[in-house]
Amino acid sequence: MAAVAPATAPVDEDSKIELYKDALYDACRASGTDQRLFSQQELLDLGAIPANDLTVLKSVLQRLNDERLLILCQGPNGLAFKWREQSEAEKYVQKCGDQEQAMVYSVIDDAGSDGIWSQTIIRRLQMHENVFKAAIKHLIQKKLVTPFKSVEHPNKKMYIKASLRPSEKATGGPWFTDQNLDEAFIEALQSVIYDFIKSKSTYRKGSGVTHRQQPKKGVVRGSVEKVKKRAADQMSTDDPSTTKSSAPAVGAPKERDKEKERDKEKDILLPMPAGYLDYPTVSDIAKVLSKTNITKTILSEEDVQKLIDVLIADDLIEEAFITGRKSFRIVRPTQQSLEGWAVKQGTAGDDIEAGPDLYRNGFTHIPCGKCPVFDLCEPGGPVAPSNCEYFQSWLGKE
Amino acid sequence: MIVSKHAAELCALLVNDTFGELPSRVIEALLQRGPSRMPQLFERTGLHPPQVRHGLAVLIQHNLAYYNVNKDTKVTTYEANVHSCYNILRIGRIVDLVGQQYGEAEQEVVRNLFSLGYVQIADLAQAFGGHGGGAAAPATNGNGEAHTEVGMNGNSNGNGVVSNKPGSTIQSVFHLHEVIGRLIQFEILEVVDAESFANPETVYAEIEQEYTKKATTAKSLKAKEDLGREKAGMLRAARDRGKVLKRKLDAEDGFPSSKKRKLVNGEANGTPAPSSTKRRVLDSSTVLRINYEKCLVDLRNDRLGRFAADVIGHTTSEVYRALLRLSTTKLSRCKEDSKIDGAYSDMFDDGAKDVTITTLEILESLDPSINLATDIGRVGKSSVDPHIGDHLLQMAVISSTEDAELGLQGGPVKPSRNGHITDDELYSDDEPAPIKASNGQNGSSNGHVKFENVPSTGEQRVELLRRHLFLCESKHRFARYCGTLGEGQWAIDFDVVMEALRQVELDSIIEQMTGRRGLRLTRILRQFGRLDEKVVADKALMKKPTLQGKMAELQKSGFVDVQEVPRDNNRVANRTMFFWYYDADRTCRQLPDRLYKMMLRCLQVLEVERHKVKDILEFVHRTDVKGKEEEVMTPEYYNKYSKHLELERKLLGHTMKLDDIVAVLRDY
Ligand code: SF4
Repeated sequence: MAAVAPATAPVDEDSKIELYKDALYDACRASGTDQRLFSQQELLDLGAIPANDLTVLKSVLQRLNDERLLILCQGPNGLAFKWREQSEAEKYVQKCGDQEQAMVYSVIDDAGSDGIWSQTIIRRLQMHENVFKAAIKHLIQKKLVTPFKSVEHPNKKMYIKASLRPSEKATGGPWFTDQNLDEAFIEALQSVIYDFIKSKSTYRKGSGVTHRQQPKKGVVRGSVEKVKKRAADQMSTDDPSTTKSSAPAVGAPKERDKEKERDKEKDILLPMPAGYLDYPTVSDIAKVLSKTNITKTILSEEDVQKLIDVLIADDLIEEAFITGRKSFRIVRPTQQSLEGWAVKQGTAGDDIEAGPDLYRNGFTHIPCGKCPVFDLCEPGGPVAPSNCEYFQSWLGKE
Repeated sequence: MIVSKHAAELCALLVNDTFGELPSRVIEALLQRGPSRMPQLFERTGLHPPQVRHGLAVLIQHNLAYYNVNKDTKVTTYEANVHSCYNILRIGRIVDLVGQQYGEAEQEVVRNLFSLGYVQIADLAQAFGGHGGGAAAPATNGNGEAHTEVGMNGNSNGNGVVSNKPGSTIQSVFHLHEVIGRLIQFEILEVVDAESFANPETVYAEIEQEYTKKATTAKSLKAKEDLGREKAGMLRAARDRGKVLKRKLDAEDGFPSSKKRKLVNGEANGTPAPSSTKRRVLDSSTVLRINYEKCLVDLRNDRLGRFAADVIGHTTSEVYRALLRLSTTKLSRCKEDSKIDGAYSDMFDDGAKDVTITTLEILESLDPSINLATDIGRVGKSSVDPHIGDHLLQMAVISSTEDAELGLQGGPVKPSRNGHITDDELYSDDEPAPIKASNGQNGSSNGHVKFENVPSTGEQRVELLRRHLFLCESKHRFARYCGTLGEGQWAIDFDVVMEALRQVELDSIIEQMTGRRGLRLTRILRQFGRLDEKVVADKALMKKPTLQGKMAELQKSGFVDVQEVPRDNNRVANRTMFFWYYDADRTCRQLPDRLYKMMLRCLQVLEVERHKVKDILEFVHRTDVKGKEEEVMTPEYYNKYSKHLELERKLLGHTMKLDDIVAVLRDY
């Protein structure tokens, strides 16, 4: 017996271990995702190894590791294990031609969706550059990995597992399209946010209201004025409508727009009273954005906050803390036009500087404010106020 | 005071414009070479002694130069008064403002004082009393002054130094004295004595020196302390020398209608209040001049009023102006001098500290025709924090009920007020609420008054007013809510508001020079301090290349700068981190000079333009042409002339706008 046993043991042991291996693997899969870390004790606790025999466990683990079904990694208390999908494991075994390729692949695999820089791989594996190049070439051919660009390191050659999408960190999140910051998209979002805050943080009022009140004439006077105003307005809008009737239908919408504009001009936006509670918050704004069809990407509140911060930096909106609630309102409401930013932008074409009205003091009203030769300008010199062309054209002379 | 080249040139040009070439050459020498003695001036100006003396006389007459006689050597030194020189630019504005604020008669007096320099009351009376206003302006060459005014008042006709009919606003010598008395009480005018011609800085320095010497001999702590107090007293006395008469008048309740006049503001016209039976006369030999410091306070009020109008709204700004006016009646200057105001300030109570104004006081002083129901959005009552006042005061105990508060303060306080004000009227929908109060709140009745019709528009007005004031509170801290008496007490922290305004002006300049993105970047840097380029790009959501371009632009304009931090000792570029930061100091240092240069260029261009139409201008200054230019001139000429006026107005107007910025950055 004693003699037979050793002879048959290898065969039996082998198939046994194969059995235990499958059992352990299935047990792992059943008790957690592929992100779960198992310690040695936890593996034993799964009950797949008979009598908690450590030597058996060791062989089983060795086998699993060889077949890439289990990943060794550093857990919180020493060595730990994660299971890997069978199909993934097969990639190693079947597609990686040699040891080097498998090593490179495993490093890239470990990097996950952040990807990894080629130099880091070389350094980590202490591999010769040429060997690495050959390996990576093969891996790319086999469609196991793919090169990509990360916005964080635009000049570095990065690799990522072909089956993964680059993480937000690598793509830059919603603001990037093909690793390029999508400024038009950002501007569009900003304008929508701004217009929304504007509509929620101001009160629209006919400017026909007099700032000086006259006693004893309350309602009557107000309404009389209104009627008058409207009549005058009608008269002025009459003209375009007559021309409109003579013009073909194409011109019609434009005319109507103009009329609308004219109507709007009479109104102004007013600030809300202090302590106003209904200024929009970040989550209000995020909700509105998700309803518009500008983007299919779902913007998190964090993303929205980022856009808001930029609007604040642009000095277009400001924070309002009311009863401990952080919300937002536009600045200088009475100076803003009623038209939305989005609308204006549409009419201004590609001019990205179109937008809300900012406070402008007199600095660049005169040519010197933007004069390219300001520092050179001295009386008696080649550039001097006496021969200044900028001023001449500013004054309407040639 | 060290003056930059452009500031000096600007001052010289202003003096030249207003007072002619001689004074201008003298002031130029003084500005460029510093304090000088007479012989040095001859040399430096290259003028004949009589010319220099004449020039100096004009300068001193208008307080554009100081002189100082050394006690030991008896040698007189002359020194330029840069502030007065620069303030020439603001004359028109000040005259305007005095007109609005204090009345036409006051305006007339101030206007004449500007053209006369310092003057005895008797002389002033003569100028008014005798033959029209023309006589009141002998010292100026008229021309420039008129032009200065054109730009600032907008009511140009390019001639006429002072108003053509001063007699109409000043009716009698008594009236004149009354007006002057009031202006002295407002500190717009100050009394001049022999020592007023010395540079105050020198005077202060002398006092300091004297006491430093004395302090070395003082032994005990107590003696030192006493000396310190004495010094503080001396400094103040030196500074407030011109206000002795004001104090006397104040103490004697001087000119009775003054208070009322001040409060009514705006509407006040020259007619003296008939009720003032007491006719006082000032000492006719008193010599007076304009006190720019106080004028600046008023100008600042005006600027802040405009600021509020821009940021909040028109009606609110009117309310704010009223608050400003009340808060600054006792304020003598915009900026305190730390040397004088800092030490032992407890000794002096000039009433300018910690001024709080109650809502009721504001209401009283507010022009009753202002419609307070406008310019604030109407919203449902539930949308407004009803306890905003409490929150502001950070009342620790929310549970302190209205009753408790009533008990404490012995009067109606605002929580109760807000609780039950008529929502129908005040928060109604669209139309400006016709005033038809459906509930009133009678004095001490507390919280939950039934909504009955005790029509009291006054109550409503108070509530509306409070609403505007709270709005002031909520933006840029225009006003600070600091108590509940008199329907709420308010204070203005000028340094806080001015800092906000300064920031706004700077931002505007940055925006205009480098666009919205430039502004975005500077504001981010200002908020976060030093930042790596990557971080900035992430925060600003801008592309790297665009960002780098903008940064370079900003750096070139001197708004931001970069700091290199090498990561190792090799200092190679790719092992170095670059941090951008907003360079507030440099910005503040550079901007005023840039502005001076711009103003200077504006005025220089104006000079060139004037030279081009010299013939016409000479023609219209002939006495037989003045006033009837249109009839006398050929249409072609007249056309040219009015075009030129147009141009002048444009250039001067824009110069004034630049001055607006300078004032905010430097003076207020
Ligand atoms: S005067 Fe003309 S050349 Fe000189 S700084 Fe001004 S704009 Fe430039």
